[in-house]
Amino acid sequence: MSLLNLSVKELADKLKSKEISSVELTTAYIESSNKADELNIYITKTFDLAMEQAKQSDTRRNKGEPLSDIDGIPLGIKDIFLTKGVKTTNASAFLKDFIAPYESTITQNLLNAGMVSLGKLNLDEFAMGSANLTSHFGPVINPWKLEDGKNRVPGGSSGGSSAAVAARAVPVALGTDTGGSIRQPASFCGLVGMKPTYGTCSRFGTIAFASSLDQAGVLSRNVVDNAMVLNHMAGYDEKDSSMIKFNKQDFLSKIGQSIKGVKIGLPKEYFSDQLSAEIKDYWTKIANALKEEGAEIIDISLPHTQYALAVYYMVAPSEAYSNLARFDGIRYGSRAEAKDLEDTYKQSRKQGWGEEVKRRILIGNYNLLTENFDKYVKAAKIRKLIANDFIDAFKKVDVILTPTTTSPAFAIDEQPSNPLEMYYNDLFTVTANLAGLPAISIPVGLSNNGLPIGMQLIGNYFKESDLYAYSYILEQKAQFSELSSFVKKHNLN
Amino acid sequence: MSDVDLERLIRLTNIDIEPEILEKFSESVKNILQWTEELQSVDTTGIEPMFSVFDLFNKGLENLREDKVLDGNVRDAILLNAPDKNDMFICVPKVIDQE
Repeated sequence: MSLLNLSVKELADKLKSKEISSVELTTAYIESSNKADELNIYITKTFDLAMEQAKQSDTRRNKGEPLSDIDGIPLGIKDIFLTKGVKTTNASAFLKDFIAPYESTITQNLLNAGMVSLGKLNLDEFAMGSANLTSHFGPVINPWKLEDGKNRVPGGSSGGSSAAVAARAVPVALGTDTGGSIRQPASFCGLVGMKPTYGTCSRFGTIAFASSLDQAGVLSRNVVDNAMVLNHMAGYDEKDSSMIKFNKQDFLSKIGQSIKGVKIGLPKEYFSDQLSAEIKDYWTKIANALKEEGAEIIDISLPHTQYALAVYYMVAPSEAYSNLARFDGIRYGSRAEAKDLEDTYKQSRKQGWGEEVKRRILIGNYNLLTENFDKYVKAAKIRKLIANDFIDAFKKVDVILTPTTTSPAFAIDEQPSNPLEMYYNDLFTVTANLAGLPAISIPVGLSNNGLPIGMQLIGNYFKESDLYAYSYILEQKAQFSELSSFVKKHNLN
Repeated sequence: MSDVDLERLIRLTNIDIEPEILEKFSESVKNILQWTEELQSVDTTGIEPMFSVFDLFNKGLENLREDKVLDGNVRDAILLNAPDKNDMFICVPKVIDQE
């Protein structure tokens, strides 16, 4: 049986019993990663480093001193996390030659757990996008292809991460989620994608997009794999002053528990006009399946949902504008040839950033003009109303079930020309970011034409362990076992 | 937003934008801003603005560590990525002759 078929859990067990070595496993994934070049998933491959790390892992293992249950497991890293001594580009021309001088807390935590880094994965430039079409290094191709032969988007912004896991180039990958950037690509590629509660994972060394929304998480083939990796990422870090102190949970601890008596809310506002009929059907089907397991399905209302996207586009670009002001071509990043200092800023930004980044910083700066101060505060108040909707809902229910996206992955040449339509991709996912809640996407089946569909579970603050337990039941009921066409074509099973 | 406003915004953002994409921009920026205008009609009487999730859980500055240097002596690491440098300095374009 091919090593590529095995889950992280199965690989961990085989490494533990010394049935396989990390070198063997890493070699297999380097081979499969090279096969996936046509999907444009990597920005930087670090295969030499990976082999070195794999050897060290095997040495530890042979001495009986593994660092953790996932010691020796290969990992793909979204190229937004700083990795010391390795290029970190954020998919931008501005940072195309940037070598990170220090390591992000998240990647350091996973290195401390013994994981092996295969390289840095493609994304939308500065994580701004929902289709991985804005990268300076070109679009990422979804490993799921239909008979029409068209290339489809892998979702975004963690599109390299989702495509890499779905193409079996990596067993598991890191992403970040500001408005849906883990869950939407997970849904488009048939994967599990988790965004934990804001403040669970340190943002130190993760290049900021919108600081009050950004949160790191995991894209994996299944629920258990996801929890295993998040277990080693989460935890208080004094280098991130916006973290929330909480008791460390074992995210695996509740997996296997029954869902009997659990109250699941279906928010009526998510039965939107944008929602495709077949996804709506899956939603009902999954709710019924969970009901069969003893869960109670309750209709709820999140009345301010309709304002979420507009609030998001007040908040996220404004924070991005503030965060990106440091990119001036002086201390690091690309510097353009220019006639004087001010022109250096202007030309470096013109050449360094693509269209979408420019659009968002202009919107952000507009929002932050003195004359618009009241409007910004208004949006922040509506953000509170959106959070209050959830706080009220969680007095009645334990978890909320919604679709992750309104439709399956679209073809690259069918991208909406109006950016607003593109922004609708995040319709069901932004609310969890605005409120700061944990949310996970789980694959539940294929659309009529054969593309993956995901359902989202939104939990209460710090209820990740419960969320994983419910997700595990949902996963068992949905029995999603389809492989991407890329995996089938290249016999990666 | 009028063309004049957009010009002012670009100036304030300290950025230069290709003329060929400026037109497209003007339209999409206008669309998005119209969208956010819809928020003005929402009743927010008595609601405090939420600028961070952090505010829901933490009171005051309890999360801040003591203000002391924990690392340092990273000059070489910082200089590593400077686009133009001379010995231990980052070079910047001339500013003194500017009007």
